[in-house]
Amino acid sequence: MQKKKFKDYLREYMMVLVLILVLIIFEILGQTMVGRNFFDISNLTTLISQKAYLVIVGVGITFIMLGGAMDLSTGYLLSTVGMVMALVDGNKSGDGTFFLLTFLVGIALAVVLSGFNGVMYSWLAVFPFIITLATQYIFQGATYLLTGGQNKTFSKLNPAFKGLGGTPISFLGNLKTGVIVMVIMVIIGSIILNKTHFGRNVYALGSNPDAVALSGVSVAKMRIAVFALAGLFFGIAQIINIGNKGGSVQQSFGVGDEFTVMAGAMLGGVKMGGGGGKISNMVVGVYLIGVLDYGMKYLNFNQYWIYVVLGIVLLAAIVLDTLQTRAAINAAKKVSGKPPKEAQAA
Amino acid sequence: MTEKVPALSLKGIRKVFPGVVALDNVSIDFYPGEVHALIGENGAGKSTFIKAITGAHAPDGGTITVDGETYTAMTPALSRQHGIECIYQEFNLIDVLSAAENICYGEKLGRFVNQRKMNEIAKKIFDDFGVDINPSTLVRDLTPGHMQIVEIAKAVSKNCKILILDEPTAPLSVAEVEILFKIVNQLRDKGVAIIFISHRLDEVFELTDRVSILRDGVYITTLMTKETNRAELIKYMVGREMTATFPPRNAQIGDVALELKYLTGNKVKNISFKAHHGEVLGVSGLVGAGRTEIMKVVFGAEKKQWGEVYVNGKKADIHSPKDAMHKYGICLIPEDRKREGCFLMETISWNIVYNVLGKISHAGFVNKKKEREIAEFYGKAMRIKAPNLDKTKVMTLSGGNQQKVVVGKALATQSDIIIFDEPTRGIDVGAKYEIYELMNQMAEEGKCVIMVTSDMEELLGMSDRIVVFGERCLAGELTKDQFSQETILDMASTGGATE
Repeated sequence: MQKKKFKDYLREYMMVLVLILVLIIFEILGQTMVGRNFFDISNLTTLISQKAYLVIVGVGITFIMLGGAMDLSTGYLLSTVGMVMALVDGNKSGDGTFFLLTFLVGIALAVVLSGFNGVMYSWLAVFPFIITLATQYIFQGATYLLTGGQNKTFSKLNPAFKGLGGTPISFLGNLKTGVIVMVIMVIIGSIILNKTHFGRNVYALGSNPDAVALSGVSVAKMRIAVFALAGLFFGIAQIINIGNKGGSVQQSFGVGDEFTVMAGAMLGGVKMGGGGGKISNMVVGVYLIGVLDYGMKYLNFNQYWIYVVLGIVLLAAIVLDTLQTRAAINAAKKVSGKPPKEAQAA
Repeated sequence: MTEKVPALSLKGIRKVFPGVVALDNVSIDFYPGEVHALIGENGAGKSTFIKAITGAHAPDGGTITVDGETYTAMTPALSRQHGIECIYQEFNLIDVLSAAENICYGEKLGRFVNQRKMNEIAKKIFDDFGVDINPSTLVRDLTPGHMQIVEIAKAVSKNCKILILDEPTAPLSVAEVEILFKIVNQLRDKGVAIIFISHRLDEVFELTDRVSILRDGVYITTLMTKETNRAELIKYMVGREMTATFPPRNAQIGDVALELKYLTGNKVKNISFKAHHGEVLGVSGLVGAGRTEIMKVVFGAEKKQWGEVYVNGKKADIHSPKDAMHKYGICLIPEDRKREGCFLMETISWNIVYNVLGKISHAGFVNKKKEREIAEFYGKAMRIKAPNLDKTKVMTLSGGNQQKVVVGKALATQSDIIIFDEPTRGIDVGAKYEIYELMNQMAEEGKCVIMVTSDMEELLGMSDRIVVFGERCLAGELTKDQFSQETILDMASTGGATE
């Protein structure tokens, strides 16, 4: 066994340390600036519950990123799914098990739409940036057409939404049921990635698609599967999101969140374009952004500063990662030993 | 010619890469108004030599004199300044711009882009060449032959004094080759020094004035083309000393394991040969002859156009590498291990079991215990030197150990037919020997080993039989008593243009 060095541990858990550091800073700032504790069970549980939905989206995004792709359309996809679920639910919100159909339709739609991204990506084999750039407009427009206009809100959806995503778990502060779903999704995602044949292929796909093709695995089918699976998580995430917001849904639900989640995943150490990272990295990254966002609001910072700080943090993470990768490449190029005597003399 | 001042003179050029002396004390003069052929086998050092001239590599020793100025190393800017232009096998054109725009690229013709003037310049050069290309055609719409002419026109428009053509005829049809030669002759008459690199000896005789031969990075000689002949050139090109030793093999050659009948696809035509159990079949040919390409067709990684593959006497229906590996027991160890062979970011175990995950998974879940067993077995069999198979990433291994991982990954499929494509490229002597031992072991176990290689020593030292590729077709087959460097090179360098 090769012993792990302290440096390796530091590198692996650096973002966790940063997260803890940020929490401590907020605690100190909280005491001095507003005279309140930041470390407070209701505070922290609210934070965890609020961002649970983003983490579930993140599970899907992580699959896509590890598979060597990206997805700009997630936000509008979530919006579409939310609106369609509201329409299906309609006035039947009281009807016993009707919510099951609503959920099923929502999740299936998410799988189909995300799968469509995957199909186009596999077929054309161009960088998914341009494909999902296009499909996001389709999703956006389709949603407006379906609901007859912008800024639509549907409230009082089936209580099952709230039950699954937004019911407080009484003995745990403000922790809501959505967190349980999040934990389950994170575990499922991690198991698929780390324990299954499929998960291996996701990493392989992001790492070296040429070698995947030479191994007889269909790169096209894998890409479709990755996007479709991500869709499954997107669908579930939107249910939890609606639940967390008390069972009402607006067209804007989900829009723009793809960037927060992608940023979080990158921040945590999931490599864009494939090549490494785990679900746990994404969770830490998304919560780091969540803490910054929540904490700065809590301390009454100007809303606009939050964006600046998030941007700086993300950029810092990219710089750090790039420098580390470069250092590793340079270290690999080095030869051990010293120059021969003749060379030293010259 | 002797009184003339050379346009370009290289003296004592030496270039060392880790573990290899690519060029050793090479001195050649190139004169204006002369077409000078540079020939040598694969790996003789031609490309490195060219790169020293263009400034892509800085030599470790020697001098380069051009225009009466002497340098120890060129840079790309410096070589361009002295009118040195090189046309590589891969074209260096911007395919969304027009022919004229490419020709004038990088030149300032006034403050704004002046389409009309650029077209005039291009038109004039094309007229001089006597070719009919519309200057405003986008490069991507041109034929390869015309693209090459655009490249040459670009060089000419930059007032090129020394023109290097690296395998210029490889992508051309017979008619296009004629046009190219006409242009080259024209440039020679204008006093341009032309360095012509080609595998096709017929072309060397047709076009060039003098010919220099490199072998194993060493300058052999320069001859007047008129005063030499094919046999003499081949003699100089080969004459390689066989210094490497190869482990002994004690294998029984058995029945036919793999047979190709008129296999065609991936630009390679009508390939037929047989390979037996217990045999190491060497596949030779110059780089780009189609050896790798046909192996990919056999393996199902490229589409077959016509022809058949027989495995153990039965017709094989191979549509994908999966069929090849799991139905017919054929595995391929690709030429470019970093690009196609392995997953550098992942661990050794991860790589070794990758192809057999289906077999060691239950309901989609990978059985860790079996994974470890397989990885350990092949890690040991391949003698992979690494601290920990489960933790060490392939990226951090040496070239030789990386190759062993790729071989292990292929062997884990328990194939009986193993195709090695350049099995020892870029790995050190010790690791090479180990790879040879592994091949022997496979042959002794009755497996069929097919070895595509550009390394003449390895080819002669390891093969039981050799098939030689000409250009995208089969040139011939040699049994052990017929092995000779001359014969192989003669077969391989028989000219022939693509259709």
